[in-house]
Order: sequence, then C-alpha cells, then structure tokens
Amino acid sequence: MNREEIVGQILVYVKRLVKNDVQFDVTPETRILSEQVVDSLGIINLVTFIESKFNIKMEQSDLTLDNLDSVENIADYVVRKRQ
Amino acid sequence: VKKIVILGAGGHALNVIDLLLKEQDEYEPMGILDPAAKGDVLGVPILGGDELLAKLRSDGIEYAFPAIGFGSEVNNGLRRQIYEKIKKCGYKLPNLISSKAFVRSGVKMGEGNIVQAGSVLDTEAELSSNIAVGFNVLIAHRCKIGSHVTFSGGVILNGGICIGEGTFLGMGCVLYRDVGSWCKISPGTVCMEAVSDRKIVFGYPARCIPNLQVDR
Repeated sequence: MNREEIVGQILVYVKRLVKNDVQFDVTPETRILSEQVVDSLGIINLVTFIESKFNIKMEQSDLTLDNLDSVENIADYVVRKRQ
Repeated sequence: VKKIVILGAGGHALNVIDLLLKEQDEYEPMGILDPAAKGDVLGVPILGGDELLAKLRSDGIEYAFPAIGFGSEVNNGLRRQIYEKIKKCGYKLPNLISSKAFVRSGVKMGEGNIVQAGSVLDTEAELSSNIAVGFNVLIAHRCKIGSHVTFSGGVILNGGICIGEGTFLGMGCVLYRDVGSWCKISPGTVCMEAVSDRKIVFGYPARCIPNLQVDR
C-alpha cells in the first residue's frame, strides 16, 4: 500500500468520526485534534483503527500531536512505522 | 418534605428523579427545567427552560439539582456551568444519596453530589461538589475527588488516591494512582500509573493522548 492509498483510507475513516457540530469539510491537512473535529471517543477509535488497519502498535511515545493531528501526519507516521 | 427543582430532562435526569422518588424521603421533585423537552419525566412535569430558575427561587423554592449527564453533546464543563447558574440564583444544592448506597464513617461532601445505588463511599473519602457517582462505584478510603467529576457505573478506585476536577471516568475503569483534572478515562481502562492533567486515557496497559477538548 503506498502513501496515497494510506491517506485515502485514513481520510475515509476520519470523516466517519467527525462531530455533528463541525461545519467544514475535512481534508488531509485539517488539524483534527487541535480543531476538535473528533471527540475523545473518536480519537481512541482512530488509534484502534490505525493499529488494526496497518498492523502496527502505537506505543505511548508515538501518541503525540505530531503523529495524530492530521491525516497527513498519521500517514507519515504509518509509513515510517512500517519501514 | 422539601421541594426541589431539577435541571435537565435526559437520561441522567431519569436516574436522579427515580432516586428522589424511591430511594430517599427528604426531597420532593416539584418540576423540571429543560429548554429542549416537554411533558414529564416519571410523572414530574417539565415546566420550561432555565429562564424559570430565578422565578421559582423568588416563588420560594429553596432547592435545585443539576441533573446533567455526560455524552456526545454534553460534558463536565457544561455540568459545571449549570451548577454555577443554580448557585448564582441562590439555591441550596443537596447531596442526593440513594438509600441503597453505602456511606462509611467520616466521609465528607460538598454540595450537589449524587450517589447512586450500589456505590460505596469508604471511610474518610472526601468529595467536593457537583460530582455524579453512578451505580456500583467504589470510592475507597481517603480518596479525594475534585468538583464536577463524573463516575460512570462500576468504577473502582484504590484507597487514598486523588481525582482532579472535571475528570470523566468511563464505565468499569480501575484506577490505582492519582488522576489529574479534565481527563477522560475510557471505559474498561486499567490505570496502574498516575495520570497528569488533560489526558485521554484508554486500554490496558493504559495509554494517554493529550486531551485538547475544550469543555464548554
């Protein structure tokens, strides 16, 4: 799976988690944590999705804003982790 | 019997009113305020929105209780806002303890707390105010709980630990060390280490994510 496909799969999943009161379209660059696009339960679901979809384990040191705050960031993290 | 007005008509209010009707005999719910609801809850009439709060106080109602739960649209920040609005109007907020709960020696409580059936407040536990303790919760000896905390059903605390204000504890989580303020602990989490302020915590072993949610 290449990076573009990873971005696409994460974006589809993130769009399912978007809170009802978010009025704008979510893109790969949207700061999904900083801008509170998903709620706390959604964030946990997102981590679970990343681990199962890409067969990786997010260690405590991986659970940072830098790795999780946008679909682009997550995709970069997944690519690094799978190398 | 003292008349009390209830704020909120959702699922948590259902629990609060059932406790008032069947598991205590000091307070009688005279009405509910909720701008988004009509009709009644377990026979207690919904009178209108929060704008009636001041009028009811001037009509002589002395007691009020915030029956705001926790879910996708509400959080402990909103629970704090409603609590403060009630205080500002000059109401007294009782502690509502189910007759089926167990409160041991030396427990201290602020005001506006609810303790549901099956829960145990162990010896010398200290609760601040506006804390919701769900069903079958164990708050062990000498624990200290900050204001506006929500305990979902089945939470277990180790003795002597502190929970900071505004923290949400999901169903069945087990906490062994202190937890900071405005954290969200996912259902079923087993937390063996201390948790600092503003974290989302999940799983076993527990993992943390920064909590950037601004509770309104």
